[in-house]
Amino acid sequence: MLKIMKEIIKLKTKSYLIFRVDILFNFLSQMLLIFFYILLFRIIFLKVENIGGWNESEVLVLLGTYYLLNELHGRLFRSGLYKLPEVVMEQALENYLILPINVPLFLLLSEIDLIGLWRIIPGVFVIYYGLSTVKNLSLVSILLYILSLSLSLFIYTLIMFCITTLSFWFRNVNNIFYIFYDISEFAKYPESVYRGVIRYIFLTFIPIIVFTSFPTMIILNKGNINLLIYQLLLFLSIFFISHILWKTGLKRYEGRG
Amino acid sequence: MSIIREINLKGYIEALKFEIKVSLQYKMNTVFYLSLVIIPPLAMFFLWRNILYGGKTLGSYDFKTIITYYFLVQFFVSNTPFLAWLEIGDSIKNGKIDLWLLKPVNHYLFYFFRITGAWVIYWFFSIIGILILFFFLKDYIFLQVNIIKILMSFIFWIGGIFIGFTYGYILNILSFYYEKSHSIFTFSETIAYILSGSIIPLDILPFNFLWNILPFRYCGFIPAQILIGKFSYFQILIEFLKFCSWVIILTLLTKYLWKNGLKKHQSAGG
Repeated sequence: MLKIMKEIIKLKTKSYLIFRVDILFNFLSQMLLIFFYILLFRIIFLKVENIGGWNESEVLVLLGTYYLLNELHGRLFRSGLYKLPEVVMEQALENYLILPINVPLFLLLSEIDLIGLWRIIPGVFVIYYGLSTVKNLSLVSILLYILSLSLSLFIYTLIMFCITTLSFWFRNVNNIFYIFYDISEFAKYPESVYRGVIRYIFLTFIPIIVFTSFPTMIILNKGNINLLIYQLLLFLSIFFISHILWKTGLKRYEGRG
Repeated sequence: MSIIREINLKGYIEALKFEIKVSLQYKMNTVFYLSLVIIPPLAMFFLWRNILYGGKTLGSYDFKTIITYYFLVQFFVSNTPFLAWLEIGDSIKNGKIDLWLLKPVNHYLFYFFRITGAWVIYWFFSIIGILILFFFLKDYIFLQVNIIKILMSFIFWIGGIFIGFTYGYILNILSFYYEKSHSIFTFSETIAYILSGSIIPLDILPFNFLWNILPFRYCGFIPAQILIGKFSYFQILIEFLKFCSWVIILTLLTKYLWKNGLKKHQSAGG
């Protein structure tokens, strides 16, 4: 499995370097969007001191975390996630099922784009800029942030994986992907702006708040270890659900012939 | 001869009808498209509720006007075809454009009608979607009810679609001159999205005199401003004149790039 992955990554790297103009303009697009969101918050913070208890630096760390998570997911797993519905629609899943590999994991990692990870730079820079004014930043909180962000990434990807498994029932699930990506817009803003029922939904069924606000709260010492425990429990729950969906979906799958 | 070709609209109408039929085959896409129109401004709603709720203002915006602005601008911008039809650029690169040159149609108009056909169902569902949303959020929405201004806003929106399409068309026919790259399109779309006022209303954006010269404001900012009652009749008239100037400039630029592009174009076996 590792050998196959190594070869895939090699090939991806070679093809990536051919499209240098694409790299430049994708980078510029991302920079432009981030710049204008920073500008939006600058304009807002000229008017108010905080948004639901979050000051400007803290909101920038949150914004950077949003872009970092988005790029990590995009480069590592997004293309792989699109592959499962494609394979199911083409009735070609049996080509993978006969191989001695973990099929969902293989499909997920088959389109991995490690070279494209340079695109996390703007997000990391915004986080660094936001943190530059934060006092009492410790190595422990940075490590806990990385752990929390990793859990967010896995939860996000597992939810998307659950959506892909719906292709066993509905065939075309691309539209649900887009809706979920649209919903992730909510993760750009501090958790405290969401109240009532919507907050409950964003903590449980569609855990938008968990994706970006939790890691940010951890690095800013705005939360405690309970946030990580919550993320871990959520991860395990969604992992369990995704496993059931995959197994049930496979039973419905009809290959060629 | 070319005038006769352009006046005979039958072929164009057929292309429009065909694209409507194609869109109707994917009805669910049009419903799901609503998420793009509704969800991003809904996120903005929660953000701005924390900032301006309770009578606070930012520039000339209070909570109701800023929320209405974001819903409207997202509606206008997400329904503007900033990339025209990527097939145009591809056909220049792969030589399929040659087939078009033999047909008795105006290439620009033909694609304009095609894209109108492809989008009209999305526009219809988006209008219904946003009206339903406004009904539920009526306590947080401010829309002026002057029928002439509503009509003017509609006209500017149609104009914005024309500008957005022409911008995309120009980007596509630049394939006559440069190597086509999809990321350049993404970048150009990002610029159009931002300068239409999607992230920050252009009147509170620094250096707004600069952004206010550009034509992208007709794709979102201007129709939204008219609907939230920020423009007088005189301002609308001035904007209309500016808009007409942009239509002339973009039309001339398109014609120039098309004609010169054809001169540069070398087809297989030619």
